[in-house]
Amino acid sequence: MINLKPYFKDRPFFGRPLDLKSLITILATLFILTLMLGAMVWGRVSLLQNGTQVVLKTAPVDPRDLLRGYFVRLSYDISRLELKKLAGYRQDRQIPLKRDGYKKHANVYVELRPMSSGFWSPYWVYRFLPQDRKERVFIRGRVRSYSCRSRMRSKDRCTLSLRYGIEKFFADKTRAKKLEDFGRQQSTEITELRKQIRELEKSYRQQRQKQKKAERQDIKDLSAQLVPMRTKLSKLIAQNRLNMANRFAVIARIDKQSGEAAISGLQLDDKAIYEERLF
Amino acid sequence: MIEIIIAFFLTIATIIGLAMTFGWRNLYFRLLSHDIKKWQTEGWISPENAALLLADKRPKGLAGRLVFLVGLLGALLLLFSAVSFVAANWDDMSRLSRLIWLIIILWTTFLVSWRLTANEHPRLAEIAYTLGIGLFGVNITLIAQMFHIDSHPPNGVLMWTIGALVAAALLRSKAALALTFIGAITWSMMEVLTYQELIHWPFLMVWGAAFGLTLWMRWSFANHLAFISLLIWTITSIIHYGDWSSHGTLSLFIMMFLLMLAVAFVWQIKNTQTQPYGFATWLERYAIIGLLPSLFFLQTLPIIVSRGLYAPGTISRDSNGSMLQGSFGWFPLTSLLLIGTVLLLVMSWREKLLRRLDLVFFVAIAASTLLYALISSPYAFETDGWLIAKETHKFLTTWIYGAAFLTMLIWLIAFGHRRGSDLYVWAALATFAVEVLYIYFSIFGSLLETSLFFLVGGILTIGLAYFLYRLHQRLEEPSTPASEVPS
Repeated sequence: MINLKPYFKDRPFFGRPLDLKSLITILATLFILTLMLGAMVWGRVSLLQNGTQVVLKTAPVDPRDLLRGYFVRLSYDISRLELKKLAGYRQDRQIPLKRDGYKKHANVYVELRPMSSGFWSPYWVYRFLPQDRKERVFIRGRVRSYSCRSRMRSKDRCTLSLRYGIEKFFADKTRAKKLEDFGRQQSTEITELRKQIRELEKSYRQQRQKQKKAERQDIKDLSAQLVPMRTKLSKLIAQNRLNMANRFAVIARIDKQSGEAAISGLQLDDKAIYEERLF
Repeated sequence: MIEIIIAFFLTIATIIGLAMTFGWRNLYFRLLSHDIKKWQTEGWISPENAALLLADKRPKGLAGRLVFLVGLLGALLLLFSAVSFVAANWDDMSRLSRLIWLIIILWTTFLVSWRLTANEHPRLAEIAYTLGIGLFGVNITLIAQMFHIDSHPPNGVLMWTIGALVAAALLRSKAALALTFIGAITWSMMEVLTYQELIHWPFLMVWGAAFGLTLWMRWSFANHLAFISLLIWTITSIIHYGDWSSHGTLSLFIMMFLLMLAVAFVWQIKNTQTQPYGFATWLERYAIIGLLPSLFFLQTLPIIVSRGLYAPGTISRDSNGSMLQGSFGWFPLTSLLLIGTVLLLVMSWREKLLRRLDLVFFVAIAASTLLYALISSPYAFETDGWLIAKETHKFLTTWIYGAAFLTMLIWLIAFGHRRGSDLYVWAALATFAVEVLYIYFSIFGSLLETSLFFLVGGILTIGLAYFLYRLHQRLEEPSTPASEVPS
């Protein structure tokens, strides 16, 4: 065995000779820490390499994270599932009422099936990963909320909100800005309506300030005009979001064993606009 | 522009921090040795004295807590600047080069810390370890960002904590051990508060490992960190498990602190020979600091938190909860703690560490807390006088509780004085002042006209000040036997 002691003894670093035992300890610590980081990277890389590729409709909303750089928050079509509207719904499938429903933060598995449009859509939700999953694809999600909105306590409108761990897309400043702009893109109709509403609100405020002098009837008229305009605006915004969701998508990879998902690219109007390189 | 300003301030702060860390002591020593030489030539001091003075003030490594703290601050700033630097150039790097950079920075920091330890700069080495472990956390965050990982943030904190634990165990680094406790409790809080874990048991595993390490390293400060983190976890678990606004939950805390006090007393009996007042003293301190505010808040609950306690029809009956989770969920555990506390107190009394009066007071606090919590439970009102009528409860809270609490505080002052504990005396005095003000505001404040209110308020406050002054003066007097007092 090579004796390293004399070698280190003659080459002091920071004044004192190197102590082999402490060197081994520090290297062991560093190896363990590096291994931990390596395992984190390896898990993702192997998922991106070997996972099943799916394309999920999404819309970019509300970007930015001061601590962790720029990111775009992604809201997926599969983020809110109305259980009875799912393709896999059958009479014998159980839709639980709120009380014994899906527990918050519990894991669930959503079966995804490809559509003719190229996008993947949710088929049905399972509490456990089914054993028989040869050709089937399941994505793992965490329950955010579960609610049934119905006076009759029927199972018609039970909605499950889920998070899949792919809701943030970190990007550089320029790309994040582009995505943000895309998210804010709106039809001219919306811009026009917003402008009208702002003007009306302004005159409404002015009228209120001079309320003593003005006729009360004027204010009533103004507020009567505002209500339908606001309703129209929110409908248009929702429609706009839907239109965008039809154009924008995330390419994700899903691990067959665990259902874990990772973002591997972005797609706009059927064209890949961003593709992750592994390294 | 904003980045430049931040970078400028960061740099200045780091330079000041480092300059203070490295230069302060040396500068002082150089000035002093210059003066000493001068005094020696003038013949004011002998050469022996000069040598003694110089030896006393010669910088020994890095001394002084302030220097250490400033250095720590500098390390944190450096960490922040490293993060900003990498973040600023992040976009132009490939993933592989990013990873290599992250690993290089991590390794460099740890290797520098290691050399500092070998060169007998333990404090500076600890600062560098803090920096290194901080960087490990930054690496985790940046890798998560690189791969758009957004699944479960507490897992990242757990990974960081385990990294710190590994570093603490292998390198015997105090900074790493302290960060392990901080990481563990942060992780647990994130799980409990954000992800609604009912009771986060896995915390105890990490805590246990870190505590084992504390015992092995024999670092007394880490005992405090261990204790505080466990206390935070326990309190959060109880609050999360029960209901913060309930008297029962608070009574559970009070009983917990009383039990801690009793354990401290018994510990003193067992260890008076070997370890006079180590563990027991600080356990007692934590208990007193926890106990007095809890007792104070118990009476304010019907007013500040559950306004609904006195308002009809607003209390929701938790019919679904089991015995352990419902309105009486606290009861079995509190009773169990009460029994344990009383047994330990009796044991201390039999060993003559407590007087009979002290025993009576401690047991009275424990028993009346349990009783008060029991009659303040929503069920007590809902069943219309099942245990107590609403008006009786109001009267009890306003008058009896206040009077009993003040009496207890006066006894505690005497008890603290007898034991020679400043903490008891001052904590009790402070609580006494707060309690009197509370009673004054809650009872008189709302009844009087504004001018009268201020007049009475002024007189009462002056009276209180005088009373506290006299009380303190009495305590300051030496306790001489009556026969020796001059007439």
